[in-house]
Amino acid sequence: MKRTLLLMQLFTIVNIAFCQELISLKQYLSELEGSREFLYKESWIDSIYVDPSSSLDELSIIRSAIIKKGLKLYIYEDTFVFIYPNRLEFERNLLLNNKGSRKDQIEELQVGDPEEYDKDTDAVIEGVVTGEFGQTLIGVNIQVNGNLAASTDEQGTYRIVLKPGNYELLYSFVGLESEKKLVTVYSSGSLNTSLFPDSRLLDEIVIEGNSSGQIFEDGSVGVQRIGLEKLEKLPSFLGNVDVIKSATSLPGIAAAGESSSYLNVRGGTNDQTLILMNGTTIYNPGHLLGFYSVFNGDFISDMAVYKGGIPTRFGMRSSSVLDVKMNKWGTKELNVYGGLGLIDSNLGIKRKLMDNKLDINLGGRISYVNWILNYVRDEDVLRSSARFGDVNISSRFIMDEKNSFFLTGFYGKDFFRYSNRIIYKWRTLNGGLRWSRLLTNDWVLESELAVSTLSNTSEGLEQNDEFIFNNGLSETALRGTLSNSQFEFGLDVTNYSIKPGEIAPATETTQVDDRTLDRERLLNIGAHVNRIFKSTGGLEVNAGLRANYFQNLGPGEVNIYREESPLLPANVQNVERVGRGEAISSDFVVEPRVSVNYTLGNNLLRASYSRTNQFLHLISNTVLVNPSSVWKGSDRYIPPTKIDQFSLGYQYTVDERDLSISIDGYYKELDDLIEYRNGATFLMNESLEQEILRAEGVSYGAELLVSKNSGRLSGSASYTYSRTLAKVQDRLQDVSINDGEWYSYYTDRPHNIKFNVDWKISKKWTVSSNFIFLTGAPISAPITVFEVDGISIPYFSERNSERIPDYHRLDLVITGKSRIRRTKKNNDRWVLTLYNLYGRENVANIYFSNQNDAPSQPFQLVNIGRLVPTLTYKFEI
Amino acid sequence: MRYLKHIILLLFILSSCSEPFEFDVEEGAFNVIDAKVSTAEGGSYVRIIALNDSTETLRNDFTVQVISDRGEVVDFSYDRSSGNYLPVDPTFRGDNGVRYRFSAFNNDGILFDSSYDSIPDSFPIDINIADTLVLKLSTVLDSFILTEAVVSTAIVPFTSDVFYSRLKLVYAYQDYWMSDSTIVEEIDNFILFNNFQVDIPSSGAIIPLGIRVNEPWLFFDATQPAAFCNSVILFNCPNPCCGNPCCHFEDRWVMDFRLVQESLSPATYDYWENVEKLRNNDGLIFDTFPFPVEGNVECTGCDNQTLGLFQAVSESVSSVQRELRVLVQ
Repeated sequence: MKRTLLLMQLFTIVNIAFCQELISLKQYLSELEGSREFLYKESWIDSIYVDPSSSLDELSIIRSAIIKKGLKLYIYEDTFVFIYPNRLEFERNLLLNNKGSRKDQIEELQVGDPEEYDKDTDAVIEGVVTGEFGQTLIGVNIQVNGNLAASTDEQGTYRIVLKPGNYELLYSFVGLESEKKLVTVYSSGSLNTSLFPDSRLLDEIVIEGNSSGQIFEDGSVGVQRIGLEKLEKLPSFLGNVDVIKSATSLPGIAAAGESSSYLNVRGGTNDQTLILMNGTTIYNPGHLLGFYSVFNGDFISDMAVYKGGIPTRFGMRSSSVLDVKMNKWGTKELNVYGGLGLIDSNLGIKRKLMDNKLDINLGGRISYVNWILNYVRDEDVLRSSARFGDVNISSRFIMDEKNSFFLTGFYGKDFFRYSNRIIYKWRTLNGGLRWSRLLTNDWVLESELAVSTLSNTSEGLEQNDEFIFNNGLSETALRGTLSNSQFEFGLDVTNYSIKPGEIAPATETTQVDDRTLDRERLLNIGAHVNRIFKSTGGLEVNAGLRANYFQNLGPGEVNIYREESPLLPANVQNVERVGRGEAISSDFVVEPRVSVNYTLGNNLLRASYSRTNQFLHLISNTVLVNPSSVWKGSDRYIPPTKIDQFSLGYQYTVDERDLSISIDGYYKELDDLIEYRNGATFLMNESLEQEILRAEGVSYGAELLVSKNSGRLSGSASYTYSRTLAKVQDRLQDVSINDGEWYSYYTDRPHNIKFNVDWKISKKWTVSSNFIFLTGAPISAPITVFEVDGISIPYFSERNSERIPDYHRLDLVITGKSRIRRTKKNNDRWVLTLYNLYGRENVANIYFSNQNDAPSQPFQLVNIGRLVPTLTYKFEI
Repeated sequence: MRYLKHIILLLFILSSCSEPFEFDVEEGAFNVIDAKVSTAEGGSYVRIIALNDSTETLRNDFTVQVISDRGEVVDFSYDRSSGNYLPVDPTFRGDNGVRYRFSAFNNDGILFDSSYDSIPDSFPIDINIADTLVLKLSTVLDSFILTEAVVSTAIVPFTSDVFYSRLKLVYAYQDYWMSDSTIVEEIDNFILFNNFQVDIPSSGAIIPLGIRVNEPWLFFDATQPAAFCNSVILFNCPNPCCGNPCCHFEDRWVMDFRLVQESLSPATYDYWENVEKLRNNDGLIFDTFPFPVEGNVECTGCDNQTLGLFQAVSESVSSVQRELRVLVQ
């Protein structure tokens, strides 16, 4: 007895001590309110307690607590945290189709007490319908078996009288996702429910399931997404979140170069990836010649890379889509956020206004590299300078239950001077306005106006050769989409105005003459239709069709060549003048695209086919795109690039460990790829068709990805084997490359290995690491130098027959929270990035030079040949 | 902290660099043919080189001939001093309008054979370097530093509609206080090379030609045939502030400008044009796409690839001398 008493006392003491560490989840969430909005029903979390002293971060504490109670959470735009019952189907379908509707998910419930069941006695069902913020909703329609039975009153309550039995109840409210429930009514009782924003009104949702924001497959073939939390942990150059470099951590995606912000996706070239910032096209995604990307990490809410199975709503690019959403919203209070770094800093504000109807996020970045350059005792460096600045604005206005508006804007400006040789300046100005209108309970109409402009200026500084060269383009797109959970219809009209080049003398003594090339005007009208079929057996088919009508419009001059003669100056018979608005060329193409997913338990099998056409080409004289590279539309002689892609994938998920393994294969047939004549020159060339050849190509590969998405130690590993080959036997141009044999195309990099590890050491410290190995890019290299008539002549290999050395790099990021204050919205942190940890001298380019009196020989350009440590302080007030 | 800042900066700056690069290519061995038939006396030669990596070996074991389309065979013999095969008849000169090809073979069964190349029917009869010659000088350490010169040039062609040509401008300077106008130093760095194709007006007007050093562009203005074009020649010394001797001139010296003009066949012009495109690439915006320049010589019995060119040219030379002392004024 004494012993039992002692044990009880001990238990009590331990229990008291233990209980002193635990607090209710509700209390914990209320303490965290401010930094995020937590959305839940109190009844769901009544009995849940958490240990706030745990070494886990806040979300992990919450997640570990609720998972035991059959609840899950997901995060929307890093602001709203939804806690909801663990309805596996609900989440799986969100994963399978980001734009999918939750209305197809039916919750089975019972009302009343089975012991009180009497089939002849009316049962009264009463309940309250609340919204995402817990507010009661007035006017919610409740249908019973398809017939309107009641609406909620001013208190958000409703009352229905039914005979006991099985019913299907549908709760619907404009602007919110309808909720369907299968209800077994035994006797009178209550039935409350909550309605959440219609996912079709939301751009993208970052699903957080059990993960902490890891890379995950979208379910669709060839689609991968990276949540914000994961983005912040991937090492990037100079300590900033960089979606471009993060995208290269995914299998099958490579950067065009260390200092490049262009992506090569599954063998696609720099121009074959459509890069979108909130629906506006980014034509030069790089700052500081590509060391930075134009995407400000403080705005990014989500990014998706479509490597295959490109949705029909996307056109004009043939390889892939990088869709970045910049919708990171604040809270009711004013949030000031920013970062201080050695090279750049950023500052911004965000908040909710007008009773949460208006969200606004305004921020900018500025660099200050020049002070560093002044420390270098090298004349070329001292004469060099670089800077950039950009401003972003994102805003959302929910006018009423039916109408929402989204505004986005971006202005970026770059300046780069290299010694006394050249200055590059480029500016991007993008803006977009989107209006979402809920037409009925199910149909949504989205209208969008998106404007994108890019202006480049290059200034030659060499004595007596001073020039100013300008080029650029602008795109104006009007898009409309009508969709519900099963259908999508869309129409888009896009107008392009390309300024190919304008050169002018910069001084009176220069020998450069004024010259301006005609603008190029392009028009593309696209229409698409998409249908999603879902079966209860786990089969989902997404089939669609996109049609493009593309015109290259006058005014302009078109060379007319002798029939069946190569497009050479000597074969120009005459020049045809095409009037304003008249078509220089027209193309009509139809692009079928279909993807099939079959889910069986933890197994997901997926397949897709897509056809894409590209009418807009980036013409560049180097693998590393410089800011003055020319965009060129398809015309009478330059056909669109056409790609047929077949993909097949399999994914297996181990739920208990949140581990997934996937393997995807793809095969692409490439028609009318852009290739170049030997010695082609592009700038200020008004007859580019004389320099461009048409290549046929093939691309194929297999991508293996293993990822562990939760726990203190998480990460992913991937291996990709891929080839991209081309062949040029251009009969029209009467020319072949490499004797008409297959050769490695510019993006052919067979082996691609990537590791990423994220280790949460404690609540304060996180270490993540990233490793990349990539086969060196193929190039035409100067393999020897010989002399004829006293002149040193570099001898280049055949097209792309050599490779620059393999690329590999290891990075380390250490993140430390500066203070832990649970009761306040404090997210201050230090980020130490060790980029290129072992100082690998990765070669960016190899070129021949006979400059500066040096012997004529090949040189290698190494952009970042050292460990680059950066320290950044991030704060949010 | 201060030192840490500098270390970080230094690491960042040092991270971008260019350095010589060697490809790990298969044991590279090439045959290089450098052969020319010229209208200038002493201007014809053939040079056969075995190139292995960066090591050049002159080949002297070949029997070399130049054959015209009129059936004439010109024998060449190896000249040990120059390493070239030279015409056995030292007065040999190529004729305008005649096509020539080159052939060389040895006892190992190796045969080099070129396609025919023709000396153009017509070519400029005169080349002038204008009297106006301005040198911009500055004084550093009590001596003059030549930074740039402005030269006016013109070629006066006659009847042809199109001619192909290349120019080579050679600079030398002489110390006229020394006896016999001894050339102090020939400045190799200042060799100027340019190719151009000009549409000649039927009137045969003077076509001004601008010349640039180390530039991919050619400057001429055919719309003003009576005008001379001032061309700036930049003296690209590696570091003129550091007292590199090549950049220093004494005011007693004489500058000697020799303009060598060669009229070419279209095929030879294409070859040199391609070479110049590659040589002028500098990583900036007007670069051309790199490619292997193919010559017109083939080999039978070779294991290695044959590079180089056989060219038939018409040559003219013009020169002018100016005293720097005068120029300074």
